Amino acid sequence: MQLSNLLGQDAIALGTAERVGTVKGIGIEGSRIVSVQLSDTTISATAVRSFEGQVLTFDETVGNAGLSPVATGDPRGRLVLDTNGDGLGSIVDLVLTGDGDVETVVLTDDRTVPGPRLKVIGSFAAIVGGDLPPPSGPPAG
Amino acid sequence: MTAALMRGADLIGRPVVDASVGEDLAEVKDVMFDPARGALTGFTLRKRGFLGRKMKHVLPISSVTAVGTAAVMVAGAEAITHPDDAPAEAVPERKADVLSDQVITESGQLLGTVRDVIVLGGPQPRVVAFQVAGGPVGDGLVPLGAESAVSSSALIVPDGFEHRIRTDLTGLAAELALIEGGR
Repeated sequence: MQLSNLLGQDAIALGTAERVGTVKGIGIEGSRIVSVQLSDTTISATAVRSFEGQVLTFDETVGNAGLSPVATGDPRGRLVLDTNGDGLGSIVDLVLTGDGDVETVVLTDDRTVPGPRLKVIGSFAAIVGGDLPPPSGPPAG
Repeated sequence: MTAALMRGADLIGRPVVDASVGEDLAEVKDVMFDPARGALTGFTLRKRGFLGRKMKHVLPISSVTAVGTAAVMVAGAEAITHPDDAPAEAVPERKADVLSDQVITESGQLLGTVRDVIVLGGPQPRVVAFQVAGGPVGDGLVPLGAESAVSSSALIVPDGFEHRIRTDLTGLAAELALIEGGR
């Protein structure tokens, strides 16, 4: 599942089968989704049954106690910085697992960052640790 | 990754980013340099955005975790401090401004005036050279070696130092490597 497919999905509460809104953004701490921003509210990612469906279903009884204060929103287009303050590009998309882990961060210039290197995605920039492979060059031959 | 050389002017406007949450706290207004110690001491700041309103707060170099090509990194919002709470060397002083300092050899030959500082970025940022102009050697980059003396009015370099002046950052990096190797 890619973030670009998740955004815009209908969000359905499992207990009432009511459509609560659509997915507008996510909050990420480390390499894990911790919150999901819907049209009019933000829910904890622990309430989400799976991130792999065509509709986001969630358990509204989980509640939002202890909801992470991390910034939510659509991270596409945000700057990606390493811990030395060097720019690596911008986020094009995120590849997500069904459990809400970021598997890969897809950057501009076809670069990718393994999800576990992600430290946080903030309102201004994503911060990653460790060295990255260089941009891939043109195909050989 | 190798730390980059960058001109002080290029640091102006660079965002100050809290690496713990990925938020921009401010942007660099100016670079603070202590001529007496030959050390980068911090940054004055302004608010982010088109208008870039002034901020009284400063960023002491001791609170900087890295200076990169895209951002100045700090570990938390508390890195930005009011001048009253900042280390003395991180409080901006007009008399400490090295821009327009004369660059003079020990025997008194004027080589030019300081137009900018050159900062080596990375986790231990420091001023490693000055950009000079307006003298007989033309525009160039003067590496700061152990033998250089700098004050708030002049930078004194050894006689014959002209051959160490470089015209670009690549040449300067090679010259700095020679100086480091000679220590």
